[in-house]
Amino acid sequence: MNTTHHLHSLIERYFAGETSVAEERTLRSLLADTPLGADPLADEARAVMGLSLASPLPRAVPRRKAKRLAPTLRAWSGAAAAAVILLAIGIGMERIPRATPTADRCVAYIDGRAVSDDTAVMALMRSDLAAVGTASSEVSSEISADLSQIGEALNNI
Amino acid sequence: MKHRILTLVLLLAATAATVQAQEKLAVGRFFSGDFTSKDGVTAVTVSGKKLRPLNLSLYRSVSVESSNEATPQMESAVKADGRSASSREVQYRDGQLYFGFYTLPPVGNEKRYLFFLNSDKAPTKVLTASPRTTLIYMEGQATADQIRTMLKQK
Repeated sequence: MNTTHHLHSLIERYFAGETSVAEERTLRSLLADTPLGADPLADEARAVMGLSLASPLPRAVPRRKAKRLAPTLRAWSGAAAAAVILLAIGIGMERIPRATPTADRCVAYIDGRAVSDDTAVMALMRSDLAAVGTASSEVSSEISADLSQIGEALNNI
Repeated sequence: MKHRILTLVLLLAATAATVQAQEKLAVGRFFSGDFTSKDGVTAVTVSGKKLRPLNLSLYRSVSVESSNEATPQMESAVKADGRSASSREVQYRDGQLYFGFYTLPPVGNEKRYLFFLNSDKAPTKVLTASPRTTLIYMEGQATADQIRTMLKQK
C-alpha cells in the first residue's frame, strides 16, 4: 500500500473514530512526515489532531539561520514551546472523534462487526433516541408532578 | 523582540489550555475504536446530509448491556463531563444515574449535547429487552428545545 493511500485511509478511520491507539500513533508519525500544504486532507487531520505545531515546515520555505538566545530565555522558550505542543496534541487525542463537517457517514458497529446499511444504522439511531426520549418524558413528568405537589403543599399552608 | 516572542508563546499555551479544557471530554474514550470494537458494544456514527433535517452535524452513540463492567465507568465519565455543562436534566435512582441530558459548552458555533441512559434503572422496564446503558453525543446548530422536540417525536 503506498504511503499516501495508507495515510488517507488512516485519516478516514480516525475521523470515523475507528482507529486504535497504535494506528493513531502511526497516523501522527505519517502526518509529521507530510509537509504542510502538500495534502489538504493531511492538513485537516493535522488541525483536528492539533499537530500543526509539530509538523515540518513546507520544503519550499527557505530556512533562516537561527539566532541563539540567552540561556535563560532559551530554557523558557523551550519549556513554553513543549507545553504548547503537548497541549495541542492533547486536544486532538481526547476529543470525541468526529467526522469532518461535510463528511457523509452512516456506520454502526455491533460486537466489532461493521454495519454499513444506512437503513439499519438509522434504525439503531432512532432506537437509541426513542429510548432516551421515553426516559426524558418520564423525568419531565416526574418533575412536573413533584412541582405540582410542592404547589399544593404551599397552598395548604 | 525576544520577550515578545516568549510572551506570545506563553499566551498560545494559555489559549491551548483553555480550548483543551472546553473540548476534552471524559466520555471520549468510549467513542474510540478501542472501545467500540469490543464484544457487547454497539456504536453508531452518523454525520452529514442524513442529519441535516435534525439541524445536527454529528451523532454518535455507544451502548452496552447495563450489567457490562463499563456501565459504572460510563456513569463516572458522564458525571465528570456534566460538571462543565451549561444546563442539565438528571435523575438518579437507587443512588445511580438513570438519565442525564447535558448541554456542553459549544466548540466554535457548534452546540454540543450529551445524553446518558441506564435503562436498568427505568421505572417501567421493557421485559423483552435486556436493559442497556447508552451514551449519545450530538453536535450541531439545534437548540436544546429543538433536541427535546425531536426526542418527543421519536
